[in-house]
Amino acid sequence: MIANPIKRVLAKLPPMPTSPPTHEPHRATLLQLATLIFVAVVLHFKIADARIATYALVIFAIKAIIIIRTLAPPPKFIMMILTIASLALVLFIYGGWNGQIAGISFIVLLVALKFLESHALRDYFVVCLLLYFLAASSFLFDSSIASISIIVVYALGITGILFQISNPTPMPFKQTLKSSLGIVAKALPLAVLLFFFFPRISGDFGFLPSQDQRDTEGLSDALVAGEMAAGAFNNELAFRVEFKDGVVPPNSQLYWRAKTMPTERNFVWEVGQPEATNNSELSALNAATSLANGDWFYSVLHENSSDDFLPYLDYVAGVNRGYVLRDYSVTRRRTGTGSFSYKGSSSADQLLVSKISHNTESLLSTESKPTARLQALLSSIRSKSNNDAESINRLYQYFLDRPYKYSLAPPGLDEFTPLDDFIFNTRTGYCEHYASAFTTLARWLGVPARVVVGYQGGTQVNGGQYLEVRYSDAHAWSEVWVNDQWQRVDATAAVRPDRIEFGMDALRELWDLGQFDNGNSSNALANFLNPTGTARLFRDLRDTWKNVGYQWNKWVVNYDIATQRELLETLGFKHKNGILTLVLIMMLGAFAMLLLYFWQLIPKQIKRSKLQAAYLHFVTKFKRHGLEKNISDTPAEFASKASALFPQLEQTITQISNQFQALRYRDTEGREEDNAAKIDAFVRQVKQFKISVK
Amino acid sequence: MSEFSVGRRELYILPTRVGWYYALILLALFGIAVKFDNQAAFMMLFILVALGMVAMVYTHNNVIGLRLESHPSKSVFLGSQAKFPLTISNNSDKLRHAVWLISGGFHQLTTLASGAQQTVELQLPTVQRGYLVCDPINLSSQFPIGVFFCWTKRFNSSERCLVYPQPLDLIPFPKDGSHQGKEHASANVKLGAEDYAGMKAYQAGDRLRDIHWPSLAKTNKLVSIQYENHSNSSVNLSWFSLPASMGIEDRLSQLCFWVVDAEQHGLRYQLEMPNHTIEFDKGLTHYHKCLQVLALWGDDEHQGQSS
Repeated sequence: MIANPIKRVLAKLPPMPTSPPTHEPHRATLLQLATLIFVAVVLHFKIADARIATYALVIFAIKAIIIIRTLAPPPKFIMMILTIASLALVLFIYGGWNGQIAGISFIVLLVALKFLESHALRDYFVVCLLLYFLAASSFLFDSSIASISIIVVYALGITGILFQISNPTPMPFKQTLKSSLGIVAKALPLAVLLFFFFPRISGDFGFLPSQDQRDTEGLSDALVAGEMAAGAFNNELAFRVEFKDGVVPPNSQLYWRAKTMPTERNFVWEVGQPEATNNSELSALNAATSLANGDWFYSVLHENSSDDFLPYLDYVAGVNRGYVLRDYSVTRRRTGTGSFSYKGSSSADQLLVSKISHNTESLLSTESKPTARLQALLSSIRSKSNNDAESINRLYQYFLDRPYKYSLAPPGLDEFTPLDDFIFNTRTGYCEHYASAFTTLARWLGVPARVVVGYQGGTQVNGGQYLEVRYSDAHAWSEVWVNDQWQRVDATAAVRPDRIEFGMDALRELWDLGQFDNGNSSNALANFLNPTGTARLFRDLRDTWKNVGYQWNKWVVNYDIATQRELLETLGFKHKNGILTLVLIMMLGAFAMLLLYFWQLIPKQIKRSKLQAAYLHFVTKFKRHGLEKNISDTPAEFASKASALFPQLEQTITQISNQFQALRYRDTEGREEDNAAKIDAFVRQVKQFKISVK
Repeated sequence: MSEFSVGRRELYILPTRVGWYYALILLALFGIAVKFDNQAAFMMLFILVALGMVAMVYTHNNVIGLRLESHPSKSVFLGSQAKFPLTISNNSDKLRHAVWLISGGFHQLTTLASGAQQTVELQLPTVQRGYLVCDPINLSSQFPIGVFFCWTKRFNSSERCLVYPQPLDLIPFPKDGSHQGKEHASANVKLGAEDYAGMKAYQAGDRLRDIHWPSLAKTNKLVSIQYENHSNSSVNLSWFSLPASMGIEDRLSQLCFWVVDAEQHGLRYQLEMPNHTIEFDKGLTHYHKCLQVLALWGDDEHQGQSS
C-alpha cells in the first residue's frame, strides 16, 4: 500500500523534453570569469606558498591568452602534464594534501586547471561552482567582517557569471549585476534564518583535510624579564568581554588571571607542572564553581589562541568552559581552533579558597640566592616586622619609596645577579620585573608567594558596552599567602599607579607622545582620556566600527551551540533538547511555506469598482425571484430577460442597464467629477430599485 | 487552433547535472564548516543554499503562466520541413528570460518581455506523406543560474500538417495514347505554344508572368493575360498510364510531379485514380485537392473526407 505512491513518485517521472543545444559562452563573460579567477589566484599569495600561487598564475595566463586570442584549448597531453606537475608541487611543498593550506592550494590549482581545460559550457559551470567553494573555504583563514564583505561581493560576481553562462542570449553587464544582486538579496534573509536556526552539530569527516597548526598569539609559559615588555606594543586583540547588565568592575579590579607561575629559576618564573585533573580535591573544587555565584558576570569572546589557559577575572567563581585548577587558573582541555567564547562569574572575594590546599614548601623555594646587598635589605625588613603581613607591607613600601621607574623599554640586566642589578642599579622595569622581583623577595622573606600572569584592564568601547583586552594589556603581578588567604600585591601599581588606573592604552599614548616621564604627562593623559573636537569624533567612529566587528564576532564568527540555545531561550523556547526544538522550528517553517504556497493557489477576489459593485447588487436583487445572470449575458441581454419576467419594471430595468453601460463603457470624453456624480446617482438608483412581487 | 497555458500542475522541476554538482559542493562545504566549526563558512553555506532555493523559485516562475497557441500549418511536399506556427505569449508583468520551446528535435529560444508575444515557426522534418501530427511541445528553462531545470507537461497541438508526396519525375509522360483519356491527351506542353485569349481580372493562382504589368501602372488593378492552348490545353494524369512495375509511392510521386508541372503551366488536368477521378479543372483549389488525394492515398481514415 505504501510502496505504491512511492513508486509513482520515483518511477513515473513525467516525460522530459530533449535537452536544448548548448551554446558557446560569450567572450565578455569569459573575461569576467578570468578576472575573478585572477583575483582568487592573487589573493592566494597571501595564504599559501608563493610557488603554488605563481604556478596557478602561469596556468591562468595561458588561459587568458587563449581567451583573448580565441585559440583552441590545449591538447590533452599538455593538460595531463600540467595536472601531474601541480599534484607533484602540492606533494613537494606540503607533503600531501592533508591540512587546510594544502587543501586550499589544491583547490586553487584545480580551479586554474579546470579553467584552462574548459571549452564546453558545463566546464565553465564547474569552474564557477569550484570558485564558490574556494571563496567559502577562505573563511578558514580569515573570518573578519572585512573578509566576509569581500567574499560576498565575490560570490555576487560568481552568481553574475552563472547568470550569463546559463542564458544563451548575451546579457548587458548592468542587467547581470542587477539580476544577481536581486537574487542574492532575496537569498540573504533565508540564509540568515538558516544560519541562526540550523542545528549546529559537531563532528569530523575523515576525508576532509585536517587542521593546520598555525602560529597564534598567547601568553608565554615563562616570565623572562624584558620579554613581556616587547609585547607592550602588540596591539593584537586577545579577547573581548561583555559584562552582564553593564556592571563593570573598576579598573583596579580588572585583573584577568590566565596562569600562575610558582617556579623560580634565576629571575625566570615558570608555569608549574600540569596537575592531574581527576584528583578528588579538584573535582570538589570544580563542583563548587557556579555561574550563579559572584559579583560580576561576563561573557568572553576570545580570539584564536594557542594558550592552554583561559583568562578569568579574579577571583573566579563560576566557569562554563575549562577546568579550575588549585591556583584559580582555568585550563582548557584541548586547544581548539579559531576564536571561541565562554562565560564566567567572578567575585572580589575568594569564594573557592576553602577547597584548596597548597604546598607551602614549594611556594618558598627559589633557585637563585640573594646577594649580600639583598641579604642586608631582607634582614632590615625582617627585623622591623612582626609577621608576614608587615614584611609584605614594608617590601611594598620599599618599592614605593625608592625612585623606581616604569618603562616600556627597560634596560638589560646583569646575567648572573639580575635581581640585584634591578633592585639597586637599573631600577627601571616593566611589570614582569616588579612581579618577579617582589615575588622572589617575598619568598626570601619566608612568605609563600607566586607570580600571576594575565591581563590587566582593557579598553572600554562604546561607552563601556564591552571591553577590549589586547596583548599589550598583558600584565604580571604577585600573590602572597598572608593571613590564611592569597593576597594580590601589584608592585607595578606602587611604581606607576596610572598603569592600573587608566590602563596600558593611556600609557602607550604617553609613550608615543614622548611624555611618559615628564611633568606634562598628566595633561596629555587628560587629553587622551577625554578627547575633544575631531579627536572625539574620530574615537567615536572608531568605537562604532569596533562595535560592528564585535557584534559580527559575537553573532557570526563565534555562534555556537551555546549561543544558539541562548537565542532560543530569548525567543521563548526553553526546552532541554535544543536540536529537537530547532528541527521543530524548521518543520514549522517548511509548513508555513507550504501554507503560503497553497494560499497563493486560492483564486483572489477581483476588486470591483463602485459602479460594478452597484450593478452586481442590482443583478443579485433578481436572484431571489429566480433570475440569474449568466456570465455570457451582456447587460442588455440581461435587461431584456428581466423585463420579460417583470414587465411592470421594464422601464426602470432598461434605464439602469443603459445607465450602467453608458458609465462603464463610456467614451473617454467627460470630466471625472461629472462621472463621479453620475456614478453616485446610479448607486442611489440601484438602492431604490425594488422588485415588487405581483 | 489549440491553446496551452502553463499552470502549476503543468510544471515539473528537477536539478540539472550542474545542480547536482552544486549540491555536492554544498555538502563538502557543510563538512568543512562542521569540521572546523567555522561559522563564517556556515554563513556562506547557507547563503549558497538559499541562493539555490531562490533560484528554484526563479526557474519555476520563469515558465509558469506562459501561453502557447498553435495555428494551422501549411501543407508541404515530402522532404521539406513541415512548419507549425505557434504563438508564445507572456501575460505576466515579468520579463521571461531564455525559455526554450522544444518539440522533438526542434529547439527555439525565446525571451519575452512583459506582455509580449512571439510567433515561432516550429519546423519538423517530414518522413512520409499523409498527415503529420506535430510532436508534443514542451517549454523549458534553466534560468537563472542553471542549477534547476523546469519543464512543462507535453502540449499536443491539434494542428496537423498535410505532407504531399515528393514530386519526382521518374518516367516521361506517356505519349502513345495507351491511357484511357480524352482526345487531347498529350501533355507535350511548350510555353510558346499558347495563344493570347484576352484579359481578365487577376485571380489568386494566376501565374506571375501572366500579369499585365502596364495595366497595373495605369489602373492600379491587377490584370492577367489569358491564354488559350487550343491543341494541348488539358491533360489526363492517370494512375493507369503508369507502368505496372512501378511501386505505389513512386506512382504517387510521379503523379504529384505531373500535377505540379501541369499547374505551373496553367493546364487543365484531371487526376484519375483507381477508385475515383477528379475531373478536369485548374487553379489552386483543384491543385490542392489533387495533391491531397495523392497524399492520403491508402489512408482509409482520411480518404473519405478528401473526396
